[in-house]
Amino acid sequence: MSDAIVSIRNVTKAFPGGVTAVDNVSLDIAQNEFFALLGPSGCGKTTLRRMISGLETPTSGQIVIGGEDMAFTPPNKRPTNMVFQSYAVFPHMTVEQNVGYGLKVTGVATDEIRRRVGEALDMVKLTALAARKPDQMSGGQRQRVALARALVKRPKVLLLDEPLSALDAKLRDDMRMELTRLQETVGITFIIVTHDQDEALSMASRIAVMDKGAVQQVATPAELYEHPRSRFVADFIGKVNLIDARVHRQIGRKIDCELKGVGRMELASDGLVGGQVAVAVRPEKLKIAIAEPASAIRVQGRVRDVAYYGDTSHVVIEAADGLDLSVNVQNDTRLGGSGVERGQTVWVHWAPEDSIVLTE
Amino acid sequence: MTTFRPRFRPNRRSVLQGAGALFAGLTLLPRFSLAAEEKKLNFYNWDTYIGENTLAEFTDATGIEVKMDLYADNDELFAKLKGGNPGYDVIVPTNDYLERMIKADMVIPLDHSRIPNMSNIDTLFQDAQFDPGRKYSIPYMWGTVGIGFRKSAVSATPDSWKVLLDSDEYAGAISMLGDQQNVLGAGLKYLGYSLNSTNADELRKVEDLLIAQKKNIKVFAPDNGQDLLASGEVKLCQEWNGDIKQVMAEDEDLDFIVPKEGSLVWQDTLAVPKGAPHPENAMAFLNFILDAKEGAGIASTIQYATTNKAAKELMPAEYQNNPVIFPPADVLIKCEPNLYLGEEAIKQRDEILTRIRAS
Amino acid sequence: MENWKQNPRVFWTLGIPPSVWLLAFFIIPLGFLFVMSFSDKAIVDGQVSITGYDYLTGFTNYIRAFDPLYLGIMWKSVWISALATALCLLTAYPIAFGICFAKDKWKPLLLLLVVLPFWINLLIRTYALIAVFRTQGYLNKILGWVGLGPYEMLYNNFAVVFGLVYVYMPFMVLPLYATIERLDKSYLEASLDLGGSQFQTFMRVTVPLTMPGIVSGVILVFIPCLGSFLTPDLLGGANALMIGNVIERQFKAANDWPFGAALSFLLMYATFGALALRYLFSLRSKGVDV
Repeated sequence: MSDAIVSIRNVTKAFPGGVTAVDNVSLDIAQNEFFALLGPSGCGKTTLRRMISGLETPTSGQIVIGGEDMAFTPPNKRPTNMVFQSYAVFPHMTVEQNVGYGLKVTGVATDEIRRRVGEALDMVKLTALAARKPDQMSGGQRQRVALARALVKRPKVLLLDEPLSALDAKLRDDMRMELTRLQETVGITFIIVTHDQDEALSMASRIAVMDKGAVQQVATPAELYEHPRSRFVADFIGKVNLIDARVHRQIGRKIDCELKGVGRMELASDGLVGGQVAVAVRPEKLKIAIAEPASAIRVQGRVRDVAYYGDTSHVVIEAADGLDLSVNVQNDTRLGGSGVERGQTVWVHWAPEDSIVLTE
Repeated sequence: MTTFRPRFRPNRRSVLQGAGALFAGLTLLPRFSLAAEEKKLNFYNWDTYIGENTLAEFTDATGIEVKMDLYADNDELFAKLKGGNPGYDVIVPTNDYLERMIKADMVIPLDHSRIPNMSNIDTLFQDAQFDPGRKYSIPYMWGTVGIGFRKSAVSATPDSWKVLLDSDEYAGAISMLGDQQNVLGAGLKYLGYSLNSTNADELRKVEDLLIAQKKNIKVFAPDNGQDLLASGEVKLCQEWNGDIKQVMAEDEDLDFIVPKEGSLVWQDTLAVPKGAPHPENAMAFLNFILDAKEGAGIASTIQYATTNKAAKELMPAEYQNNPVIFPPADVLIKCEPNLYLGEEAIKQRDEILTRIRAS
Repeated sequence: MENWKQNPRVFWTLGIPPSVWLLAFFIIPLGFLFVMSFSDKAIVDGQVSITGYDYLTGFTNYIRAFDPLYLGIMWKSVWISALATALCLLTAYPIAFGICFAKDKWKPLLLLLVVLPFWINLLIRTYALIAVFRTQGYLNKILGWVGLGPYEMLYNNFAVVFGLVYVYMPFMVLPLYATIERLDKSYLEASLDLGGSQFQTFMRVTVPLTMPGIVSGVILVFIPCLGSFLTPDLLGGANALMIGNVIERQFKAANDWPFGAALSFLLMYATFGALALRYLFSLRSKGVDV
């Protein structure tokens, strides 16, 4: 993309001892995007983040920020700023001094520092606590200090490390909305690095899913959810039912395949596929019927488990050939409950277009 | 969930075990001997200040085991005994400290009847100003303080205190001893006063002299001046004659002289401190030391001047005629022993020394 | 840990031996010296006694200690100790820092190297310095090969300060290492990320956050330096008289224990004063109104 603010080109990072943390990753992140690096621990997202901010150097490859190659630029000269997972708010300085630190060390004039710090504190609603010391503040307040401290520098890119992980559920929601609002107000690129898919899905406009040092898929949250391109992505994001299938033959853009425990059917497929594939179906796309439904895809089975979650119930149904299907049932009537009980024999059905064919 | 609280429950067995351990420990404490003197002697002496075989020969002759502890200087000896004798039978104080200890009632009179070898002592030392009638001590070794120097490094033989106290010639290559008797004493002798002067004017003149000279003095070396001379750190040093003699044996370029103005003459003595656990053995030991052969053995090991005439006669000619050990008579006349001057005078002189060293 | 009231027997059984030890070997002898500092040597038959004392006669010893002569020596000791402490800090900090950032498998070895000299007797270590620094010592010999020197590196203030720094280095390195090790490295990364140079990060973040270690190290070095007499005695020249040497002489050659006790306690009061100042200072910086 031509207006990429951060361009990662074939970046590899190998540590002595034979560990390759990042393996030939290429990514383009657009200006004003809210981007997420998502993946389990050890996937390389943290190393990639450190390379963007300058705390690590790539073994090979290029990192270009704002059109400039960052190969010889140390972290203190890059147009990026970071909010650490532990916030790293300097304990020996007040909130005001913390926020003004980045300006002070780069020689900004004192009155301008005061003005900009005031603005930043206003933006994160911490003006009243300007003279406090960090040890007298809550975790959420310290996070806002760290945010203000980074934003006051007006970086091109703001990197956030697991921003919601240390907060409790209620604060998490508040902060999520806060971060989204901030990103729109300030108008700079946010990159969050996280292992929590809820964080990524709810805040980011585009997500790069990483595993074992490589990027598995880069897409919008909806696309990742409904059009995953690999088993890993399908499994990592949300819950999914994965059904093994054997392909008999390919007919144009469809394949004739046999799903284990389900039966033979024709499904849409994007590209050429080989012999063994996995068919993914999201639990909320499955429907339960007591009487045999008229759908093209239908499986009969016995209810093994019902987990009640208030707004939904997760029902696990045992079908033939060892196939287990997870169904999300919306408890849409107050008096009906989930409608099924353990041990009951039911039918599970879904529309063919809700199946996703995955090759890897 | 209940918390486990360890309870201390002394039962009879543990109390007995504890008491037994306590008593066993107590037996390891030093005991005072209550019975007749056991065959032991505790000797408190300077380092390398006894003959090579003297102690072994004493044990052979009498069956008494000698345990020798060492001290570095008279101050250490005095400080150790001041609070009460920790169990020594024989000590070796220098004359002024013996005088101090006699006045402080820290030594016991000798039983001369048990020390017949006192007749071996040279007539010069049979009596002493600091111990009339030799009531409390027998003489051991004597010597002088003078200037040790490197022959090839001096322009002329340094036969006067002037080179150390009043001259820039050897600036930075001089060391002096560290105690007030010697530092102030040398100054007093140089200016023609008595070594033991307590006259305030005379002492002030010495103080001024030394403060002016201090920039030329490299270090005040109370016990390793001879090492500094031998290693070339200094070219001249104020030192005890025996110490210089020892390094002269290894380096022909070194020599010793007593300055013509005179110097300090010292005498080490053997005495028995009050509260000695084996006084009988002590007398036997003193008598043994005074034996002619034993005295010669001691003199040949430590190479100081012996006060024992009979022993001296047994020594080779090079010992008897050595001017470093036995200084010439005309200089010896000018030398004075250092007397115990009383606590007030000591305090006064110590403060002068502090002022000199702090200047 | 339980409240001691719940188990008084255990508490007293465990607590008595160290308390007795402290009392017998520390408090009582110190108390004796304290009384001595207010005493004088007894006058017996018109003469000052050699071993007897008149106890608790007044402040004569303290008044004498305030004589410019002794104050001057004390000031010099403070000065030399401060210099040695500062040099110790300046050399120990990079060492501690370096050890912290070394590979994990090297760390124990490096720490051992710092502490090892400590296991060797102080006297031997000081003599070793003499062998290195004297006019015909190892250093001058090596310098002689390249045509330099010989230099006078012994029997002067330089040798004393060097000796003190050398002897007390482990006392400075270890507390510094402990504090630096515990420092959260993300603070340093944050400073760099915000635009601070390495130097700025060091001065504005690392040093303030390791201040407790610095203060501990400084106290652990400065106080023994003040009272040291062995190092100035062996390495110092005619000029190197420290208060420790004077005190030593009072207890030995001068046989004036009351005065020696007074000087010792004066040193102790000065030390307590410095510690109290530091405590007040730390209270103030915590925001407590002092």
